[in-house]
Amino acid sequence: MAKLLIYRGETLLEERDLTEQTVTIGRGAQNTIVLEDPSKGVSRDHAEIRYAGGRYTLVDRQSQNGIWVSGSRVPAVVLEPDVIASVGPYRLTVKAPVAPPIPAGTLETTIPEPAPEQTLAGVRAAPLELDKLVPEVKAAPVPPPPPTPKPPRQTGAGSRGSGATASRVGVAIAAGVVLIALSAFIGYKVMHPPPKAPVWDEAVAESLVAGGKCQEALDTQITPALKADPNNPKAIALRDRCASPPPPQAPPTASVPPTVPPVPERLNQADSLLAAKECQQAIDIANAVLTEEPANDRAKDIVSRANTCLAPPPAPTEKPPVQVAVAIPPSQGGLEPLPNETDKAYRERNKGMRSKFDEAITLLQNKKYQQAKRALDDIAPQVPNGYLDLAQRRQEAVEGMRSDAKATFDQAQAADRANEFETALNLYRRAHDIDPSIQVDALIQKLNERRIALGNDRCTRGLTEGSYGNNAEAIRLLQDAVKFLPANHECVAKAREMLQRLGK
Amino acid sequence: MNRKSVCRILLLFACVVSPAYSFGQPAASDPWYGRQAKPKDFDAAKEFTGAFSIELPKGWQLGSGHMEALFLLTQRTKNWDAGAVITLEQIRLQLPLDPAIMAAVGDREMREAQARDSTGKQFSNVVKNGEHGPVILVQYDRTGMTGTTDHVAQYSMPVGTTMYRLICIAPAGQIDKYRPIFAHVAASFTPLKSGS
Repeated sequence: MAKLLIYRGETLLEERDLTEQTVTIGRGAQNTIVLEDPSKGVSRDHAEIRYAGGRYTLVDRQSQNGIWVSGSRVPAVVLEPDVIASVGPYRLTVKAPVAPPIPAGTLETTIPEPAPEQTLAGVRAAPLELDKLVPEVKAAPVPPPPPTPKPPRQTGAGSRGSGATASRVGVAIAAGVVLIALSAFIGYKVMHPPPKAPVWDEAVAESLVAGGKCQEALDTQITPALKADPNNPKAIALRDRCASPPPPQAPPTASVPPTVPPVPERLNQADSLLAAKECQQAIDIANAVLTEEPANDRAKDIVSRANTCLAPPPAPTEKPPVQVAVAIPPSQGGLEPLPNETDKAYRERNKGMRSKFDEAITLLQNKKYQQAKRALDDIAPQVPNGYLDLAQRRQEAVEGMRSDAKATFDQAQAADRANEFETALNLYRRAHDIDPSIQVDALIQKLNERRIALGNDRCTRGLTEGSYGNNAEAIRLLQDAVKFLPANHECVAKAREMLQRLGK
Repeated sequence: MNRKSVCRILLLFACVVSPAYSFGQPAASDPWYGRQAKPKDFDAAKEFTGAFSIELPKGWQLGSGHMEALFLLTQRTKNWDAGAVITLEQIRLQLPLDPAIMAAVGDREMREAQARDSTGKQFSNVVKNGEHGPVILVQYDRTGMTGTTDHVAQYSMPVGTTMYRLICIAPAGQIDKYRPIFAHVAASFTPLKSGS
C-alpha cells in the first residue's frame, strides 16, 4: 500500500495510507484530504487521487491554480516516489512503490491514465534505468486493457487536452524508445518463449497508438494482425500512423532519456519565472532542485521568495473613482472649488456652509438681528459674491438692528426719566452697541450727573427725615441715596450710619 | 459841672461805649438777622427754662405758650389795629442735625410750614450762619384773620436735639417797620446749653 507524503516547504506534514479508490484533495472540508491554505493557492476542490491499473494518478479537478510538476502545469500526473506534484503551497508524492492488487472492474475504465509526458517527467527526476523500462516492455503482452468498447478516456484527453503530449511521445518512441524497447523486447523474446499471438483487437491497437504506445501496439496487435492479414486496413493505417514523423511542434523534452538542465540553469530559469511572477512554476523548479540537492541555499531562497510571491496580495482597498468637484453656482449655494478637491469633499463643504447660512437665517427670523448679522458677517468672507441671498439677508439684519437700537434707546430714555439710572445706563450702552451711530456718551454723562445730584438730595433729605424721626421716609430716601451715589461719596457713609441707627 | 463839661463826658462815654456795644454784633448787612434795632427798645435778655435766653421788645405782651409753643408775644395796639406777633416753639429731634445738611433742613422746614399753613404762598427759605449755629429763615405770606395779608418770618434754630422755631408775624404792609425787631430778637437767641 502506498503512502501519500504531504509536504509544505521542506516540512513533512502528513504521511497517509492511500487505501481509498479515490481520494479527494482540496481546501474544502468535504475533501478526503483537506489542505488548508488561507492564501487560496489550494482550491476548494483541487484534485483527486485515483487508483487505477496499480497506479495512483493525481488528477486536476479543474482547479484555478492547477497541479504543477517540474515547473509545468499538468492536468494529471501519475504519483510515483520520484514525482513531486505541487498543489498550491503543498507538495505531494508517494512513498512506496505502488503494487496493490486491484479488484476486477475497478476504475480502469473511468480513471484516466496519467499522460505519458507526466510519467516521463517523473522519471526525468531520476536517472533512467533500463530495469524500470523492462517491466514496461514486459507489460506489453499483458492482456489488453479494459474491455470497454470505447477507448479509455485518457486517450482522448491526451490527444485533445495535451496534443503536445502525444506528439512528444511519438517523437520519443521514434527517436529512442523504440530502439531501447526493441532491445529489451529481443532480450525478452530470447528469455521467454513467444507468446501466443494475441487476438487482433482494433480498439486496443487504436488506443495504444493513440496513447503513444506504438511499439506496444506494433508488437502486440498490428504486426501480428498484418501477419495474419496483410490487407487489414485498420492495422495498415495504424502502422502508417506509427511510422509517420512526429508533428513538428513536438518538443524534444520527452525524448528518452530526458536531458535535465544543470541545476544552476534550472535555478536561473526559476529566478526568471519568479521575476515574471510565475511563482508556482518557480517553486516547482526550486523544489525539484531541492529534492536533488536538499542543501542548495539558492533553491531554498527561491522557494522562500516564491512562497512570499504566492501569498495573496493584500486586498485592494476599494477606492472609488475620484471625481473632481464640479462648481455649483453661488446663487445655488455653491462655493469656489478648491484645487484638486473631490466632488464629495466639495459637496460636503457646500453642505457645511449652507448649514451655517441656514442657522444665521433662523436667527434673523427669530429677530435676533445682531446675532444674525454677526453670523452672516462671518460667512461673507468665506463665500463667493452672489452666494444665495446673503447680501439681502445682511441688509435685513442691519435694518433689524437699527430698529432694535432705536427701540432700546427709547427704553433707555424712559428709564432715565424714571430715575432708573442703572437700567437706563445699560440700555443706552446696548443701543450704542447695536447701532454705533447712536451717540450716548453725553446722555450717559448727564445721567450720571443727575444720578449723583439725586442721590445727594436723597441722602440729605434722608438724613434730615431721620433726624426729625420720620423713619420710614428716611429709610426710603437713604436706601435710594446709597443706590444712586458712588460708594466713595461723603454722604453715603452718613446714610449707612443713619440706616444702621434706624435698624436697616 | 457846666454844660460843656457834661457834653465832653457824654461824648467820651459815647466813644468808649459805642465800640464796646458794637463789638460782637453781626454786621447789619442782613436785614432779617442781626442786632440792629435800638437796644433801648428791648428788654434785657430773658432766660427761658435754662435752655436759652432771648431779648424781647419792650411793651409787648408776653403770654404763655401751649403744647410746643414756649411763649407768645404780641404787640399792644390801639383800636384793635393789627399788630405783630412773635412766638417760640420747640420740637424734639430724634438725632442732632448734621450741619452739612442744612439746605435739606431748610427745605423741610419750609415744606412743614407749607403743610401747616395752607393759605401761605411765596414760600422761601434760606440758611444763615447765626451767632450760635445755623439759622434757617423761612418766609411767606399768608391771609390773616381780618383778611389782610400777613408776612411770616420763621427762624428755625437747631440746638442739639431741639429745633427752636421763632415765628414772627406782622402785617405785610408794615414789614419794613417790624423786620429790624424780628432780626434783633432772632439774633439775640442764645442757647445756654447744647441741648439734649
